[in-house]
Amino acid sequence: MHSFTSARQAWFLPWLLALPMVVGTQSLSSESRAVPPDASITSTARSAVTRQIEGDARIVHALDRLTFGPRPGDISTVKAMGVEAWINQQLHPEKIDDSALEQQLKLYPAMQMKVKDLMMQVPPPPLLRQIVNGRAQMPQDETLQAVYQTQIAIIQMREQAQALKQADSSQNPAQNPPQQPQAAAHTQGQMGTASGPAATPPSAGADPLTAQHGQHVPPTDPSLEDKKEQILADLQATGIVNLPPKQRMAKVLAMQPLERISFYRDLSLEDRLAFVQGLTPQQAQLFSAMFAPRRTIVSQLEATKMLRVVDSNRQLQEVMTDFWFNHFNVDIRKGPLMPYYLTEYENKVLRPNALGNFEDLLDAVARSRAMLLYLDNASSVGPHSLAAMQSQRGPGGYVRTQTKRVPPGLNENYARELMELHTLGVNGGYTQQDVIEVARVFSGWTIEKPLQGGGFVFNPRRHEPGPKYVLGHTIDEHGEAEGLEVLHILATSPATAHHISEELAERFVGDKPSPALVNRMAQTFLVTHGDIRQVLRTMFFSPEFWAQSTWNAKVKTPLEFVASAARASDTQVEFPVVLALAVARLGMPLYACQPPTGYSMNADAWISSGSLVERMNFAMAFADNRLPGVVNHWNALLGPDAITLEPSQKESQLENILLRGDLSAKTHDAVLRELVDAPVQTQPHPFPLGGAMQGYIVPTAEQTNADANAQPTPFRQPLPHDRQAALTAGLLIGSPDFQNR
Amino acid sequence: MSISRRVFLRNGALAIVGTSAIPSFLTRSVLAEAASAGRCKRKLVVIFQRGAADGLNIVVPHAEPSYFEMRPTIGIPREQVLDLDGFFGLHPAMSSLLPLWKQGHLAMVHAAGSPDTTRSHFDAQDYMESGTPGVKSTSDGWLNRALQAEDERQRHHDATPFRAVAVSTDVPRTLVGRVPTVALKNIGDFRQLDAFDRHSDDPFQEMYDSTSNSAIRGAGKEAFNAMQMLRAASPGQYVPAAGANYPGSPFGQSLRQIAQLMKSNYGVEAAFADVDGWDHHHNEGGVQGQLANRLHDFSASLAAFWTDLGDEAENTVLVTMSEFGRTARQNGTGGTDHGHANVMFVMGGPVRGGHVYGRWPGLAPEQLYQDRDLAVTTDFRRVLSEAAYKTIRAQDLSRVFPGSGMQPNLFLNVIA
Repeated sequence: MHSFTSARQAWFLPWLLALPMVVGTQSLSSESRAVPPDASITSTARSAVTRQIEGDARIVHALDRLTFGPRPGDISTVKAMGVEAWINQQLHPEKIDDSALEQQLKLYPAMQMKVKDLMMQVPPPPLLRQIVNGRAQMPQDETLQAVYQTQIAIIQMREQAQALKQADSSQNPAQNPPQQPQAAAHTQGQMGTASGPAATPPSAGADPLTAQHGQHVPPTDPSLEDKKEQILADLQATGIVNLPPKQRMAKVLAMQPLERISFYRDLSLEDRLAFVQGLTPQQAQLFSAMFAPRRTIVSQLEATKMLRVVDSNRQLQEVMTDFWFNHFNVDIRKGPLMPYYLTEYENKVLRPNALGNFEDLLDAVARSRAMLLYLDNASSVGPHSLAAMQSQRGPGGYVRTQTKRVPPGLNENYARELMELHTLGVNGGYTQQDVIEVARVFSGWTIEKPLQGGGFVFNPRRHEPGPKYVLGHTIDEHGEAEGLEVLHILATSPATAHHISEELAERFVGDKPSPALVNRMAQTFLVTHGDIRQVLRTMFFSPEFWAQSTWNAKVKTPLEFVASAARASDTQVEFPVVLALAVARLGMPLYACQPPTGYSMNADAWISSGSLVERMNFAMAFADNRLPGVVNHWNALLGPDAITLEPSQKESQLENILLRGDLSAKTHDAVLRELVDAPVQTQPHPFPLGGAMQGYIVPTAEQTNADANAQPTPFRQPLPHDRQAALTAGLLIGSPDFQNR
Repeated sequence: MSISRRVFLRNGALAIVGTSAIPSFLTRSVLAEAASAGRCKRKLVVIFQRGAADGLNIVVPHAEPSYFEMRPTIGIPREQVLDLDGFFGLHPAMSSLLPLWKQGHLAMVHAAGSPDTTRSHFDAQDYMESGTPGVKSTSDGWLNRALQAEDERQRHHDATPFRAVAVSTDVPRTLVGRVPTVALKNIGDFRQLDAFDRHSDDPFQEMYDSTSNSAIRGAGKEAFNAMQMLRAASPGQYVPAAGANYPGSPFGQSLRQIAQLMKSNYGVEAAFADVDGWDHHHNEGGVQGQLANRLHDFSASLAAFWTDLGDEAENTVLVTMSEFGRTARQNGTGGTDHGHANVMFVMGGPVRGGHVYGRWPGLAPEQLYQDRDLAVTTDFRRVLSEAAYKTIRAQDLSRVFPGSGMQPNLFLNVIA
């Protein structure tokens, strides 16, 4: 077995949370050799309306659309059940056992905790600043105090560095423009440092933790003496890492904050991984929270998302959760608290309602901290509310005034997107006046004491008094219930039914879905009062869904591409966060779509010269196990006699496994020629995963040899690996045929 | 550099040839201009500020008394504005652009915008990028049509894969259309990591050349052509010109990529980049704060681009746009909501800069659009038409902006 599994619980790294995922490697070959989908169709009589997908191709089509891609074994499972029964099962996720996944998810403590508790354990920077300023209390727990003290020390170091820089630039204004780095824009792998618009951005250069092992530049010019110290520090760090888990933590907790920071900085990536081996997930989270609190949470969000899409048996529920996240999009970079809010947004707000009632979902989103923060409703105040009237004393709660005090007032952001994006659609017949009226209705829907982990509250002091007039309805003054009334009007509007149905059909059927299908779905939506499951049923059992023209007609988004590659290959995903970084690299960073529109689900957004090159590169690196902690076992997939197979036999089997034999003759020829004509000699090249991951790339064989002092570590894991099969799989996954579903 | 390149050009090349006191890049560009009179190929760079930038806090109408009344906490105090002409002033975070303004290479068009009044980010961007406000069915983007509308007789070199370039993962709406567009995020990464060098035929290329999906086939073709060209030229490590200090931000890096491609003679005619993060409903800030941070990055990136281009700047025009402006009054949460007219920047060697163009509609309540927004007095297509016409020779404006009635007599003459 793989060396890393000896450290089964070493799932954690400060900015890379990972967990050993033992993927079922059972029954891989027979059922995956599916009948080529077109075989049973060719002779079929054309239906009167549209030619339908028939035979086993229906199974593949259903799996392609209702899941993140078929896994080996899925086709025979669905075949045994029957497609209809399987679809019905997917529509009732509560009846599907997902205990294996749930077991894995337990290793991610942040995802199990209440936001309030998580904020206490992994303190966000604004809370720490409050403590520094004496406006909040340090926790009683001594272990937590270590986290807080370390973080406070880091913040202070950053501020000092910032101040130095500013002093420097004021002396030398021409050469040093004012410090700018508002990290509003997201770059891959930098989520941990991108602190979002409302936070004070850490200056990258001044970060006491950015200096990595081996790159650490001492403050003065490096001299022999410094080097000696460096070596000593390394030794000391390694010494602690080698202690038993309990003593290890105790040693770190006994350190002074500055000592702790220096200890952490001196750890190599491998040391950091080694350090957490044997710790409980909670201890590991604690360790991580000391040094990289934001990344501690973001990593767990990303990792669990990738685990779910790759590994959940409740695939339709995951597809729909992803659909709703994109529909009710929020951006993780909106402020320092958003990562905390996202731990509940998908799991408690979206997923439980993903196949339920639309109005319930809309209501849950409207009250969610994530949405209240993202679209600014948390700060919107009725201009004639009590809070506005008494504003001389400054508004309480979430609004922060600036230098001058002005009466707080409305913010239209949520009101507009509620109608344009969440419900009616842009042509749904609302006016600018409706936007203002809806903003009045929702004034007072806010977050209570956000830094103490507070949740939704209706604050009557901030609510605009008087009646409101929304879309021709008069809404009488009755506080929080006004909002519910408006949500009800919107959720039951035919425009909403049409808008949601159209989006669903775009995701599941085609980029330009048939209006007749959308109308029937909208009808179901209205008749069932927004029963999402029934709307899906109408779609799944429509002739349009099964029309031959929909076969492979959707281009995979980067998430779908990466997830489907891992599912088709039955990949052992030890570090799911690596897959998330790859998705970001392909242009679709999870939780970080900046505009409220969400990502496009249509082909034109994802097909470009640059994105195709990235997909080919991902495919080759992925198949050749060059993504750290993402391991493919091609020989296991090929079955017990894999080593005796001729190249052409391997190729043919992999075609069946990865593409169910559905590929063009040209692709087949090109792959085969590559195998037969040329021995495998491509220069292995790591797939770049952005700054945070640079150190994580698995060294290739040559690099490992070049480094004579290299110690065996969990990352240096070139397994006995069939490079020929890997090349074949890489070419197939990077082929145009794999880009569609 | 305080000397305007354009002034040298205007004053004639002969006058300065042989003058050793003149910086060499100036003589070079002047000589090049003289040698290729009328043939010199101008380039157009288009920047989209996504999210609706707050034009009233970017080019501040500091002589408007109502400006300060409507923006009590986020307004830029008159004494801190970088005055341009006694009426308008730049946001103080944009000081890096002042030299360009003074040299006459930077102009603004204020109160520009779309005749369509939607306040939806998505629709407004879509209309601006398609160039057909109010028409949803337009399938291509205005800049792609502008390349199609180029006067063929004027062409003097074959199109390269890099004729149209977007620094993004997807082909932006602005460049969608018949003329192939290379979309790349990073030149260094735009290559196959596993090179199949020993073959004349790359297996991926073979597959992509023959796939039945025409969109994938087209993008694949662009990708392989572009990669071949990059490989032949081996871009290697790019070192920007001295003094060109690009911020490490995504926008700074986007402009750096464009400069690299333009300077390396890949045949770029039109380039596009976008920059997001302008949707400041909450806590926008004034002299400092969220918008100030964006603007600092924005202007430092543009200034670095200008410096980096060197001679190339002489033939380059850069235009900025954003889907709409923001409310004239600040909202109740220290930000601004979706508005209407905005400001566009026009920068480059041939620009008649040092002037704020457009008719100023005023900020008095009765002058505002719907009593809340800066009114549009200049159709954004007038600015884009002129830029396309005078750079990439898009002569047939009815093709670029169908139904708009755009003609040279509507130009503001921002560009020489």
